[in-house]
Amino acid sequence: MPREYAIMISFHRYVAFVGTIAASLLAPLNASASGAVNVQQFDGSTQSYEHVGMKLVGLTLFLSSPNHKDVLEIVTDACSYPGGVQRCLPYKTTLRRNGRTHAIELERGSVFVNMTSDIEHLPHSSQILAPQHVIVHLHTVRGTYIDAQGALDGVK
Amino acid sequence: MIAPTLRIALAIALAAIPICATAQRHGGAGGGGGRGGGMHSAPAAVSRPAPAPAAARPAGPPAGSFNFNHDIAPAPAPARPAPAPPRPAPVAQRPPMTQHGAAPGGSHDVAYHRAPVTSSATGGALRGHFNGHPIENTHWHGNWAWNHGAPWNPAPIYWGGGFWGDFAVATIGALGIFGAIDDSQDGYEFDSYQVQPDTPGADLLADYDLQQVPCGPPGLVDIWGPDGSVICANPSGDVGPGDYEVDPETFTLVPAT
Repeated sequence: MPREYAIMISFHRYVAFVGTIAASLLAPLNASASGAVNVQQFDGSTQSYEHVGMKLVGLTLFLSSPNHKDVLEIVTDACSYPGGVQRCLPYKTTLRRNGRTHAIELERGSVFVNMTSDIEHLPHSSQILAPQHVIVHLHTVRGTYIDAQGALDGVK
Repeated sequence: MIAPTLRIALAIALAAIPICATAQRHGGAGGGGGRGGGMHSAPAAVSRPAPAPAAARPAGPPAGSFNFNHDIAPAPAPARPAPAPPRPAPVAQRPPMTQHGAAPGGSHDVAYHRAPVTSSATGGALRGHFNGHPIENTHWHGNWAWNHGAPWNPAPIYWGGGFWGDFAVATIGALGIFGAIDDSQDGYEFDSYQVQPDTPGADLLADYDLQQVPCGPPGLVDIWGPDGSVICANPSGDVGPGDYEVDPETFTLVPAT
């Protein structure tokens, strides 16, 4: 391989390396957030998201997208305590994007929160829920399934 | 000539590029990405159809944004009814509470923040008459003690506010009705459904040693719950036949007088 050609390839790789480092420093990801969201659309296509922020304020759960541009607000009530976990029923969901709010009409769902210091099982399930973790299942009127789980980044 | 240290740096760069992939992944059925024991081990709180081959997808949002475009898009205009050949009328799904000649039940307000514990329809013809001496619930003492001290409020989009289970009002017509109570005085019919386990309603029945049965026959314990819901049970040693209202704060049954 000619020496000039080898140097050119190495230079391109160096630029890619520097660019990658810069991108990783500048990217507005929720690096510390450990939440994950899976969305199954009405047509069967799915999208998965990691580094989703999860904050619980009262009985309302806030999920922030990896790029911080979206916040999904899930309002719940009818909370009960089967086993050691708190189970609430979501009834209102709103997407905040670019300063606007969009209602997402829910059909049904469940929000499980473990506010204890022990690992708990979900009712009638082998699934465990770690302390300060949350699991969400939503089904919208338009046929979208939303699953979320992860550690709470904040509780008020 | 390239220095050995630069070669090492280039090698690291090549290894690092795949790791720094974007957080959003499209099109795969796997949820949670690299999270061990992720979404698929979660219990299926709601049954869902198997993913179908992707058809025409809505345009996706920017990378890293949630894709709820289908849910936030304006509702499609109702299609103009096309002339169709006459056919047998489909069996109508009954809302949880129906009024003869009208259908006030089965709808909900999306912007509804907090529902009343008992709607004006709760109790049927006996509403306003649940003034008897509460039957003590020997398992719990004190306000909201049964619910870890936290007030219980109904969630609007569920039958009975979710007290008896997570019965979605939008689809409850597809469930099997577990009897009904006919309020001929007001022209209402209150449908009943089977109480789900691990719910406040199931705990209440257990506390009073009551066994749920379909509503309708005389001589039953009719228990009026939140938001116009009603379930029925065989009488027990503690609770005789008649109509009762749930006091969610004390988790007691209050008889009608």
